[in-house]
Amino acid sequence: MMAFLLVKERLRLFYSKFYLLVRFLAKFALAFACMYALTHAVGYMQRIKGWPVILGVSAVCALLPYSGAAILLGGVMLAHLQAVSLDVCALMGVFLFAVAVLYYGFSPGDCYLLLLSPLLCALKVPYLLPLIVGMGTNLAGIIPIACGAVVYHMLVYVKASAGVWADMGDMDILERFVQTLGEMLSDRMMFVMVAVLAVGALATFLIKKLSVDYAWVLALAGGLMAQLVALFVGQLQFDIPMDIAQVAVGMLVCALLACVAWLFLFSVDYSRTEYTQFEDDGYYYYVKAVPKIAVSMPDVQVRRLNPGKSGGKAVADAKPAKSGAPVMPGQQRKDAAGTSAGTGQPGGRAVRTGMSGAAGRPGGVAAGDGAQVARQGLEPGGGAARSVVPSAAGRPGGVAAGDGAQAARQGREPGRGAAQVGAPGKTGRSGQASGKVTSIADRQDRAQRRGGASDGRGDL
Amino acid sequence: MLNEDKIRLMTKITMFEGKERRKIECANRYFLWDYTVRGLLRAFFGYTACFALLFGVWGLYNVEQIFNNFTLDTVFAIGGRAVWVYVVGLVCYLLIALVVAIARHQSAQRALVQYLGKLKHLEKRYGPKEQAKTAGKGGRSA
Repeated sequence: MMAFLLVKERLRLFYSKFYLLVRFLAKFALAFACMYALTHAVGYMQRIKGWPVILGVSAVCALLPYSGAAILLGGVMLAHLQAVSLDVCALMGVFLFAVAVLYYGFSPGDCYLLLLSPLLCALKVPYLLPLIVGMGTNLAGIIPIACGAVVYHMLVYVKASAGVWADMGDMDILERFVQTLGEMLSDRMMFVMVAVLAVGALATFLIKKLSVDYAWVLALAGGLMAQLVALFVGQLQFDIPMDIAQVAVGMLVCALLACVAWLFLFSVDYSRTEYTQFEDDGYYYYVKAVPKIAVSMPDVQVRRLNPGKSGGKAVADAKPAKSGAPVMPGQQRKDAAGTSAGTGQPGGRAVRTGMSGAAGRPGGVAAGDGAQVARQGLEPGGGAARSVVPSAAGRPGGVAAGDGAQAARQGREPGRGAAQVGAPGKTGRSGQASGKVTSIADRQDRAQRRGGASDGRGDL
Repeated sequence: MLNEDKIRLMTKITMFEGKERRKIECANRYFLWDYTVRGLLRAFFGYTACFALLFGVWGLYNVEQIFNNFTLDTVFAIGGRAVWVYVVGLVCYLLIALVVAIARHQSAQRALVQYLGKLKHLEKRYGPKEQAKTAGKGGRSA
């Protein structure tokens, strides 16, 4: 889980740094996949079948907004269809025109769904999009998904019938048009798939709205189950031949992808849910606040301490060190020495540990021992000590690792260096420890010279 | 010397503008009534064009049947049914368009109020009057 969150954070940082490039590449990849699938399925026009055209159109689509890309790819599809059958091309043209005018007049921002839907249908994982739509965007996204499924089934029909059409070349165009439209409308699988996708999105949307813990996970599972049930009902009702293994694999892949999408897009921590209640003149308010899970990137930097430069005391390099453990929302991260690190308790005495461990239970002690680490780094004549070990701290009431005062005592012994530890660590909630032990003796001596009392905590 | 507060405020306003520009535009350029009528007209023409095309496809699909029973009564019956379907569909579609247009305009108006509030805040803190006041006192503007 934490690994996923760290990857998410890394991706977020990467995106914020290179968002133009990432968006271009994502659009290019989508357009390229669509073009490739289109050419593979109905590539009947030789002139626009080659790699240069595929790459060129994909590059142009990457520069256009999604609506422009959809229009361009629609044009390419119509060109391919026109090469095999004018009547099918006309039918598809009318269908796309109706969708463009009736739906995209309202919300042109959803065009990527129209592109993704047939693509995922071709990959046999069409059940993913309804989950994403039900979880995220508005429910009207069902329309482009359904239209994409219709386009896919029309293309499948064209691919299956192209050979037959070539054989009946002398047939009257009107006769062929009637036959084609009749066969397309008798494709029950197309209607069942449209219904399945709509049911999946609706179920996901409705379950997500429930005020229960893990509503989003339940919504994903419920959406998948609803699609499975709808698929079987449709199959039984219309007696459609279906490859059960393929459906099962598709569902499994969708479940996995949905879990990944959940972790990346909708992750919240229900264990830290807070409730509050208040009122104004008109209403009573019962508020339930579920915090999102967010982590900051571990950024380990080691401060090098050179002993013996100032009367045997440790002297730190000027380079500032950042503490490195991920921090949950609502927790504090301060420099470890003498202040609470990640505990959220003011005045906490957490001095950082780098030792691995998992204090996973309420009241558990967080991993490691600052004093121990300090001792490790404070061997006579020793220089900087470094310990970078992942730790997994974290439940309420957990005690942050180490003891500032203890570490301070260690650090005050003359002729010894100081240790600094920064560790990428897993954290759950309060009780997380993070930080470093550094130059304690130095600072305390300075504080004493200033006349202030030092308790090994506040002045670090 | 750079005024960080002002820069932050202006950056926020610019970001808001960039993000919500399209949304705000409809409230900025049209009154609610004008925007709604515009949306309804677009919906009307779009629906009519689509209906004509789909009716044409249906006509082609059933062309044999129509010509086999081609009488004036049949034509009137088909025409009457087509008009009925057209009107019912048009009313439904126009209702949807009406709701969408009103909701969109109201949302844009709310965004516009927010935007104007931000601008007012900027004006209040860093406008010419405030600057003159600060200059008169001989203090720094930051």
